[in-house]
Amino acid sequence: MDGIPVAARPIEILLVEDNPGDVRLTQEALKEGKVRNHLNVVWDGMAALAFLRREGEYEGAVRPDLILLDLNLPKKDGREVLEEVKGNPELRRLPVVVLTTSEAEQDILKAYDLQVNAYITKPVDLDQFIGVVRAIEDFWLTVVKLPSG
Amino acid sequence: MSSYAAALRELYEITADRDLEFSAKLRALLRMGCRRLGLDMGFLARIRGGRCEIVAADGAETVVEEGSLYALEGTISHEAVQAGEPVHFTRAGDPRSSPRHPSYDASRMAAYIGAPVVVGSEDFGLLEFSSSRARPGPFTETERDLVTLMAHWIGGELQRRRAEDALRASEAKFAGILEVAVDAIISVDEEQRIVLFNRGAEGTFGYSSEEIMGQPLDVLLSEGARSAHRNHIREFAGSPVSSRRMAERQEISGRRKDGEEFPAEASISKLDTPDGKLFTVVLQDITASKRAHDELARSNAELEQFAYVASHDLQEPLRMVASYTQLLARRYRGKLDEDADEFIGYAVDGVNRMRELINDLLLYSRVGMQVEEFVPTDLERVVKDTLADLELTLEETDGVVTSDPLPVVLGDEGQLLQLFQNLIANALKFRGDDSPRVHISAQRSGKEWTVSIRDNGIGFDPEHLDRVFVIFQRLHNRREYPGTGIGLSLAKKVVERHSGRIWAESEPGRGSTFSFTLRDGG
Repeated sequence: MDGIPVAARPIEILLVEDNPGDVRLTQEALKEGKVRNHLNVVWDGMAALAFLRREGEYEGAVRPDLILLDLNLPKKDGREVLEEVKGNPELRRLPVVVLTTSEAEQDILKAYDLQVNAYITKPVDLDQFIGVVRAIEDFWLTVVKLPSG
Repeated sequence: MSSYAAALRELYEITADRDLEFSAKLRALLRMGCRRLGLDMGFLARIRGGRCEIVAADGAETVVEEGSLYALEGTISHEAVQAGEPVHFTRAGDPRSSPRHPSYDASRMAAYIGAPVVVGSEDFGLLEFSSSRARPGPFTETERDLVTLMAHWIGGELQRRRAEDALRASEAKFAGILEVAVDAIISVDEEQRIVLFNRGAEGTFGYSSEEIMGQPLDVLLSEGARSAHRNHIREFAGSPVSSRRMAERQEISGRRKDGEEFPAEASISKLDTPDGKLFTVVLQDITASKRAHDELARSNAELEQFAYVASHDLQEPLRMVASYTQLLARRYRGKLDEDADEFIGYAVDGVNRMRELINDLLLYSRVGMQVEEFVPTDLERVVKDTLADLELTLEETDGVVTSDPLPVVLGDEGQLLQLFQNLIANALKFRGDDSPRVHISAQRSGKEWTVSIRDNGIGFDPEHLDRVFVIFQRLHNRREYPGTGIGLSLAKKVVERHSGRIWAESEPGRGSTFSFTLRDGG
């Protein structure tokens, strides 16, 4: 079977990132991608969980197809967000890609322990960054067959 | 009794008299000589530098005073010195005697006998007796022997006194050194009882010399150090390499009068004396230097931590600057004006360079941050892995790396990989016109291996030896040879983390050899 047909609607991506520079870079990188997408941005871990649980101001939020998660976040950091997502039966099937500057081995191991779907270090080079975002897009949205719903 | 025997007895009585000082004995001898020889004056003259100095004078008619000095030239003394054996005459002034003695006009001495005085191997001067009156008969053989004997005794006595003076001076010097030495100097006898305790020891241990004398050395050692030290001394005493003295420096734990224990460095020497073996300990309180050392180590660790954190945290803002200058370049190059393109170009270059520096700094500080687990590591495998990593460079440069059999050393494999990678990559990078040839050799000495990496590259002036291992120091401009200048400093750091030493030998145009030591791991 080929991947899920995605042409019908734009892909919903939740980006959890507190650095506006990175948010914009991700937007720019996705702009150059070939998959139609809609980027939802939240700035900290609490907001990310509220978005996913459709609480408060996120009552009408969409269920994202992919979560791009920074590790170092205010209020609730990425590791905690990851833990809650993977521990929640409704959310645990959501693909989560950790996108961070941390190359620390314990961060990487911890993230895989928490069943992260991919762990990617943000490259300093722009071309590489764009390449990474596109690879994520390609891999998770066109190649991998995800459980539907 | 013959007169000779009587003279000998008198000579003996004078020289053996314990109550007489040397100068008094000397005068008594001169007086005795005058009397027995029937002459008026006796002298001991010191002769040097063409002058004659009267050291002692005695007799019935002393026309020359002690301490007086006169020129040697033309005097009878001159002749006597040159003769090197007793010279004598009895009737120099007598117009009937022929030939007339040439010195008579100068000194008016009619009778004279002089014998050389030799001190050790040095010609000291003369023992002389003379008279302005002629002597009735010539000097007998006995009389000449007596003068020679006196001269011998005086020479021997002078030498003994010189040796004593030298010994006294050396003792005084030694005592002076003992007193002013900051180090504690303590001697113990074979029973390990303290027999010498200098001022430095008083300062270090808080005991006065009087109260510690005769006490066992143990008093000055911490409890833990006592038996070890006793054994050490016993071993040392019976050591077969028992040269008269030997010293080895080691760290021990001392104990002050107030009970405080302190780290000290001590060396010990052994001296065989007529009263038995004497052990002398020279000891230095190293509390301060140890503290300074610990302080330095901590401050270095902090610096390393700082470098790590700084380079790590700098990456984030750097990534922003880099990404957006690149984005600018990507979107707007050629769309603004020429100036804008140039500016963007410089910004991108600067950022790239900063990125290299920060990455290298991070790499460098990580070597210090890692917890070391040194295990036996096969350098053959390390080199094989290194060459696999450098395969592309080797192909591009047509380089060949050869190696002797390499040992197993104690080390961290990751760090050793970095070490070889940097040194071999360096050898390939700084190649000359010929394709690079690199040879790795290893030599063992004791528990240590010296590994050398020799190349046929451009080399460098030995005056830069100090600089090549300093982080971010470069000998070439970046257009000739790109790079941040991290390679060798990283190599040095890895070697030093492994308790080794690294050094280079090079000459411009004649290649370089980088050598380092590692502990044997076999």
